[in-house]
Amino acid sequence: MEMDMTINRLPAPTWNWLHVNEATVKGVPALQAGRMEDETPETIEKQVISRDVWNCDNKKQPDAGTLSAELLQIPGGMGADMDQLMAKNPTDLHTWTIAAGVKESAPVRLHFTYEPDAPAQDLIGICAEEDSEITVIMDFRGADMDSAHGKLTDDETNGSKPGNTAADDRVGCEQSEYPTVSDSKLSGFAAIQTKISAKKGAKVHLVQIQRLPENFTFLNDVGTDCGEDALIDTVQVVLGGGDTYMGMRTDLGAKASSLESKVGYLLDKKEKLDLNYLAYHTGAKTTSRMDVSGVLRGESQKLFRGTIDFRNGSVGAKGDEKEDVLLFSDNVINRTVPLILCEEEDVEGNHGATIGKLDEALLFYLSSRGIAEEEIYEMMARARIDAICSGIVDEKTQELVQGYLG
Amino acid sequence: MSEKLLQVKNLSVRVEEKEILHGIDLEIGKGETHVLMGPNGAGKSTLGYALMGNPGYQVTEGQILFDGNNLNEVSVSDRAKAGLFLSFQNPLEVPGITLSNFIRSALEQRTGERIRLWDFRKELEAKMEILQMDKSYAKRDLNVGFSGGEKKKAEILQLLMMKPQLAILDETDSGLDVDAVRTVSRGVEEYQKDKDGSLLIITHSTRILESLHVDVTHVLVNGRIVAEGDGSLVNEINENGFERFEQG
Amino acid sequence: MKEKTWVEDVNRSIYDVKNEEKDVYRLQAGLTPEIVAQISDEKHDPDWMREFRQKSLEIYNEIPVPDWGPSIDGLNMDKIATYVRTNTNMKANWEDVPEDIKKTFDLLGIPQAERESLAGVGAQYDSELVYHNVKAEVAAQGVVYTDMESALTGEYADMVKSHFMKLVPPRDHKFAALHGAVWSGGSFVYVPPGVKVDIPLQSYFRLNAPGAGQFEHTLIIVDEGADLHFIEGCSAPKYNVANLHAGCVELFVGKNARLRYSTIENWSRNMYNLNTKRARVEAGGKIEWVSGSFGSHVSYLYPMSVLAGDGARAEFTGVTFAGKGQNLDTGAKMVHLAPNTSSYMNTRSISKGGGISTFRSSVTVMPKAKHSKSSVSCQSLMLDRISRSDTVPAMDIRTSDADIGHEARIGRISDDAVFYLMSRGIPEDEARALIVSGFADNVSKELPVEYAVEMNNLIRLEMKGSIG
Repeated sequence: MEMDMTINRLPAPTWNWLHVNEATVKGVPALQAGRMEDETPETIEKQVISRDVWNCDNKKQPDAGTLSAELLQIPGGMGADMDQLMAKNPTDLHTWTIAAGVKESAPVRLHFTYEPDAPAQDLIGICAEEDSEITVIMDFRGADMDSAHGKLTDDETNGSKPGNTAADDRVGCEQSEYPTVSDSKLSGFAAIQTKISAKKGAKVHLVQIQRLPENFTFLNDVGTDCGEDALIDTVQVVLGGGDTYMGMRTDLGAKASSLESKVGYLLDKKEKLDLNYLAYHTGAKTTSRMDVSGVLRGESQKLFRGTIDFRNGSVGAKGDEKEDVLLFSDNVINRTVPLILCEEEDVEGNHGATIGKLDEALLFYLSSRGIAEEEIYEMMARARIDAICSGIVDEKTQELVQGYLG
Repeated sequence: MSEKLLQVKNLSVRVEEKEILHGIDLEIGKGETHVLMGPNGAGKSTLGYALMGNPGYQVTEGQILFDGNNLNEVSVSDRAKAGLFLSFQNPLEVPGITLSNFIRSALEQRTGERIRLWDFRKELEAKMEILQMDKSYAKRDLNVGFSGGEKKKAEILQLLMMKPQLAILDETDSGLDVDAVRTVSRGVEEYQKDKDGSLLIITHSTRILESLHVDVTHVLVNGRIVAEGDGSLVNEINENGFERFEQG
Repeated sequence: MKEKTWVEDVNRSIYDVKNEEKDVYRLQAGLTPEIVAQISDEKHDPDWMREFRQKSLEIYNEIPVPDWGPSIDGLNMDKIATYVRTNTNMKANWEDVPEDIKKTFDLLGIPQAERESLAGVGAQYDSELVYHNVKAEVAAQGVVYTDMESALTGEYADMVKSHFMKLVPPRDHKFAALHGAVWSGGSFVYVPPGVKVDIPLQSYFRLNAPGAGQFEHTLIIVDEGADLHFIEGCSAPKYNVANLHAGCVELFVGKNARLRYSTIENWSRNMYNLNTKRARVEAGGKIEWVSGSFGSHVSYLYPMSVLAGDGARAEFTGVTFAGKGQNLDTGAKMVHLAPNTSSYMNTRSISKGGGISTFRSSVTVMPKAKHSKSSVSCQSLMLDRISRSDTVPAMDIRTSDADIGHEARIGRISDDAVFYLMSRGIPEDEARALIVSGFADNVSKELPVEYAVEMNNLIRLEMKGSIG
């Protein structure tokens, strides 16, 4: 029943010796529907579309015109193998729809709790009708994690909680060369795919906070379709995990649609993070921004593939990619492949990356105020995540992150 | 116990391959205000960095004694904890850490104790008022997007909050307009009276000194102290410049 | 100024002068052990080279064609003649070079250049060098500049043997293996320790024969503390059949030595340019690549710098102009192996008339390369909406003590800039050409003035008629 997957393909491959063209996940187990709890504001319609409807054996595609058809045709960032994984295992499609013109400030909260011995997968759909606004906050956590992380008091001095309990006693994992093959003997496995449709003038805010134990392989795929003048705004924070794969594809097909994507991560020990982010500009005056920022410690590894693709028709489009990586250990591997593909004249694409250790002048400045070096590293690591999270309006989520950071 | 807070003995400092300071002797007593003047490139900032322990500035000879303890092998942060403070000429931008959080962390680091948020906020706001800083700066990332004057004020704010025994102000007045210099001077006066703190003011102009009482003036030219005097030396330099010291 | 005018007259038609193939020796097209053995016979290879060629051929047959770059389906190796030479020996005296060949190089400005601004010149016509000469005063400094064949058996035979395809082993990729099997011609340069060659050496490669391949090998060893500027030029007339250029350049830069390697490549639009260039830099040494890619149908070109010694440095400055029918995949690779190394990449690419340009790069910083720095800046210009411009950089950083910066930008000519120039009385096409030349000035600034002028002329040629 185990399968191998090839995901996160670079849309324009490069030299094979770099081992960045794709990621292979071996031995993916059979998956069951995950344990998910939701808190849904009244204004938002929640639906469960059973697998028999969205993925009947006798029909290749769900009926055209249905919600499931509309959502599931949106491609994700991981590629076809991820879609197949979703189709292969018994999973219902959970959707949240906000009606035209409704702007809901209270978020939909989705809590995913994963058990090491119950490999899980979830399929989520978010549909924002014209001129609506919706916020969806997803929290991915391991079942055995200290529940104190999840519920913070309104302590004014937030940030004073003692350190994280989950990050210690790590399971040893032997890896072969990253990331072409991941042979980790990680016991936990979870996969989630989120499809988002933002209609004309709609705003969708997606927040994902990942706090998984280090023995988990986690696949997190997002596909979004962005209508005219619509905005998709995502903040994803990776605070803990084992091998994490993330894909996100945004189709900016309609005029003046835009994407704001932020990713923050703190990796330590043998954690691995493999990202594939794609912004396809086909509509005029579309904009995309990707801001990826994080810290590598221990023997952690990160590979970021970020692609801005200006297709014909994307006249006046703008795409920006920014990456900022702090390296705190000599045993880390940081890889970055920032692509700009272009077949339209009147576009503007930019990419900037800064990778390295803490600036020496900055280190001196902060030390001169009496802060010890280790503390400065801690502060700067937190500052990265804080900067990424500053866009999250939801206070509870902010506290959740602060609480985890300790 | 020495009444001398800082004793610099025959200090030579090298930056990369070049020796910048050649055998500096300098003593600062408790509560005293000293001024270090000199033309551009004399090595004034180098002395400030060396006292603070910047790893890029190598002490090749001599000693720095602070409160009788040799600082030569002491780390930068431990020097700060011992009561040394350097106001930077070009303070660095630190995205992601607010001015307020930063000062609080630094204070907590020094004392090893948590500081009550309420007390901290009250004091911070009082000091910001002295410096005519808008309260919103407390919540802004440290120095990020601050104008030159705001950065200098943020440095003095840190000085007032951290209350060191010796503050070294490196060209704190440079690039500021008259009003800003006045505000910064007021902050420095506040430090003096609040803590009976010692000061070493590095400057190549004299504007910041107008409202301060100066005990000793040192003139640094080409990496050597070439003249010393009382506060009147400042006025003389103000009128005649450094030419007299640069000859020979 | 006056004496430089010879380059300003460059006209596309010069590059397209074809000479009739007469009195030529041409090996049967295709690639078999027999053909490779014939090349060995023809060139009187020493035994080790005979074996090396056969071994390379085996490797060539094992390795697949690259699956990541532009299509090379139009290249059929069975139809490429790997060895073509005129029935003439190499001359050291320009007067002795056969008339039609001489005329070709005359038109390209090679002899004038030699007289005026070069320390030595080699001219290769198809598979063999037809002319080689080095100024007496440079030779007197102990500088060796000779064709590869003479080097293989001459005074420096051991040095050649110990360096030949050590930096680019045949196993590196399919066309490196091909090169190992059928290489012919090229130059060998040795600059002894401490010798500074004040004016550049130049090799010019001309591929005249249709349906042929050119596989010249350039081996340059700049010994400790020495300094050299080497210029490489290439061109070919346009034919309807595919031509192949799979040269190999190996540069060894000794301790504290410096080598600048400049190329203006203007192959015709039927050329598959699958060239491999690599430099190894020892402690304190520096390699400077200056590269202009204008010609060919398909190019794969990524000079690689291996920073092997403490404090070694590399700079790559490049411009690529892809016009109609061109797919130019160019860039550079930087490998930091040692501490305190630094690399700097500054490239511009221009796409026009349906041309495809791809900037491809890699920066690898290994764990031992503490305190290394790398900075990459690539800018692309799209001149219309039927062209394509891709940027495919990669970074692999394995030490924390590194300072890595990368910036990429893609855009178009600003209408404001065109308007500004037009408001000063400059016609639109001229204004655009000026702006594009300005965009490419990262390279033209680094070239000797004659080459900078030639490059700007090439840009003007490409820009002509671009309005509409």
